[in-house]
Amino acid sequence: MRRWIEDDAPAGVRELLDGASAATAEAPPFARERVFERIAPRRRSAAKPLVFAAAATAAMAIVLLRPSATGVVEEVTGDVVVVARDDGTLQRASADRGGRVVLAELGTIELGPETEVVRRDADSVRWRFALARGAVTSDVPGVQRIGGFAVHAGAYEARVVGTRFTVVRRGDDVEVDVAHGTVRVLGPEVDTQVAAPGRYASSRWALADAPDGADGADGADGADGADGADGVDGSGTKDGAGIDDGASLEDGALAQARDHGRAPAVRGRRRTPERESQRGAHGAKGSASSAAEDSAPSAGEDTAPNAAEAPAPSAAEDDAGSAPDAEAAEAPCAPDEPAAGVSAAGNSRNLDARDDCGDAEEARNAARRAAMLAYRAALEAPPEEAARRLVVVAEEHAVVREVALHRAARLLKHAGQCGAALPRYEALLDEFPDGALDLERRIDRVECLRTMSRTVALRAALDDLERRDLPRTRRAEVTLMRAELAREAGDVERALAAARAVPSDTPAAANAKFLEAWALLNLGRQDEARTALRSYLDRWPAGRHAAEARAWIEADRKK
Amino acid sequence: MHAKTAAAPLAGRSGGDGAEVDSSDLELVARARSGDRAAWRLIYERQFDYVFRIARRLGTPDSEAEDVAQEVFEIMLARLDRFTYGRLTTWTFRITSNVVSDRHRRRRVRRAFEKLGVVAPERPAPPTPERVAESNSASRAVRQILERMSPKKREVFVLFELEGLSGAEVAQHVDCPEGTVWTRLHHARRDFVRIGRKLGCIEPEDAP
Repeated sequence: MRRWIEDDAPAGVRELLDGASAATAEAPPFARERVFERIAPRRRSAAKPLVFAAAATAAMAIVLLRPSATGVVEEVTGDVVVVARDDGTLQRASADRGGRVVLAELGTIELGPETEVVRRDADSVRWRFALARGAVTSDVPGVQRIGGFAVHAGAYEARVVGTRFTVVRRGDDVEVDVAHGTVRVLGPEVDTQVAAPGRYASSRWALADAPDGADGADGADGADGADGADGVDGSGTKDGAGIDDGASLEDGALAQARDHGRAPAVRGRRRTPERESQRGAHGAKGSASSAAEDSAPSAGEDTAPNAAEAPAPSAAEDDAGSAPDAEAAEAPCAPDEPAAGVSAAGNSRNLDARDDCGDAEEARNAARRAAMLAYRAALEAPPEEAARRLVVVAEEHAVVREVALHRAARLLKHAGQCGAALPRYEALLDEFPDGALDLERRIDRVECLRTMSRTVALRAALDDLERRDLPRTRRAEVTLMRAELAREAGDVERALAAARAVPSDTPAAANAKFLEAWALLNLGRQDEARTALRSYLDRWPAGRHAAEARAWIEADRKK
Repeated sequence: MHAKTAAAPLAGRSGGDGAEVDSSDLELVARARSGDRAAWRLIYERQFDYVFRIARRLGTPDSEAEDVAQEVFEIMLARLDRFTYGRLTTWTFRITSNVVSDRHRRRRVRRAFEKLGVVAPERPAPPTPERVAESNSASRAVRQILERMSPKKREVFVLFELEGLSGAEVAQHVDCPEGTVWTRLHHARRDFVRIGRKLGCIEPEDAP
């Protein structure tokens, strides 16, 4: 058998396989070394049966990836009982009421009440701590950790500032709450990265406890949303993941996590019952969450909005900066790290500014979470009721106003109520002339107008669309729509011209080709029509109009 | 084009095409088993490109390829005593394929749980350079398609179409008769197109 690619692969397959083959032919630079570094230490750890035996009793472990960190106990506060090795490195720490351990070059571990951590193993790349019970918050200072990783862009600089995350264990259930940076969690049914502010809970108890749920993810989806399912198509980004550093959460049988340490700093944490008790016990850092967060409904975490239909509130919040919910978020933030040469006083001021910034960030995140929960709760209802509730959500939560109103209109449109949806789209176009969903809105409006046969308004809307910077496939759809409008109006010449203007490599090409044949037939250009129909059948032998095309060709042949 | 691309990395490494005599592999593994770290390093060096490439071609996202490679070599290291005959490449392939399939399965289970509302929806990973490079590319499209294919069809498809192995070689890798390879390949191609069209990666045959 010949290779498919050399033989009769369907259109597009050759390009896909060629591209995939070339892209995967070689490993990226340094991958070989990185992976070997990660394997070798595990092998060495086999020579430490005592450490392994201790680790085997734990169901969850914290991994702090930190090249050449000493892990020497530098400071202990609270009622923590620490057992160190001969070289001063931490071996075990336990606390009845909670406390804090600072480890040299590694960061800080905050122990909640009735918590115990056991050092599992360590090497030049990572440190592992098994969380035997309780709750622990790890704070890994990223700047020192990876040598001040930063991206400079003109006058601006984006720096990695580290990771701060909390792991709470209740029997077999685990909750991971990320305050800074990004943590990856692996488990029996999970392999996910949790970005700050965000949470992963292995069971619903944690969700029930904490109304903010796992909604932080949606904030990261971006406005585009067209590719929300598979993630991120951003450009111009950079991260320190390849350096294989950071903090993570690991379990021999359950989970592994790796910090990608690139999120901006977020001071403070969200409030949970566990953390409230920790706060009382040992004064852990953190600012108060908003009342909205506490009163938000607990349901709805499971129904993330379709990214393609409803971009995350974060996309819209930029447009809602004057809203009460977002006011706190608009407070200017000082640079997170002082520039070189800044005086001690300057450093102090920067620290104060960072605290203010953290509070503003906290308020902003709380508002966003509350809005997101309300948004999701509204979507639980049947379409028409959901649309009504979304309008209420839009009134109460400015950060999701555009998204909620847009979704309400779209729900009505999909429910076949274009008459009700259209004025909503019109109102949105007025209110958010440059909104994140502007283009989607205009296309939806066109579809409504077409459904309602409002030809004059439709032409105007199409004119308006064509003046905009449309993606190629969208432009092809608009062109095809023009061709169909011309056909409906009996303007065959114009229909032909528009149909021929549809690019042949877009999804609209099939209908356009058939429409071209139809127009040629109606113009009496039989030979060209025949060619067009054959061309259609060659390319789309099972297409929607294939039977019709074959029937015409057969009838023509008999003539 | 792709056949050349696939063949090039294979040709230069004994671990790549399995062409090296089995005794060499066995001897190397025996040395590694007895604690010879240099032998293990040599195995790693010979097999790394192959493992990495196969992992990605079987549908592993670029961002996870290193994790998969790590897992594969850790399994190899732990089970060196189980390699007693055959080609090292074939053994490596089986381990890699199992690791990749396991990850695909976990993803599917995760999605099923998400649909049932048992777990919170998985948040998209932040944009690593690998992800950015992979986005909107052919490799991403192929990965998405392969992820949805059954393991057996996926293996045959990748080995024949992307790795450029012959039917007999594929049969050896997946441990089945050559006739079965052709049957699986036929179905795999059909699935590839069907899934690709469903995902919008391949041009639809029927007009919308």
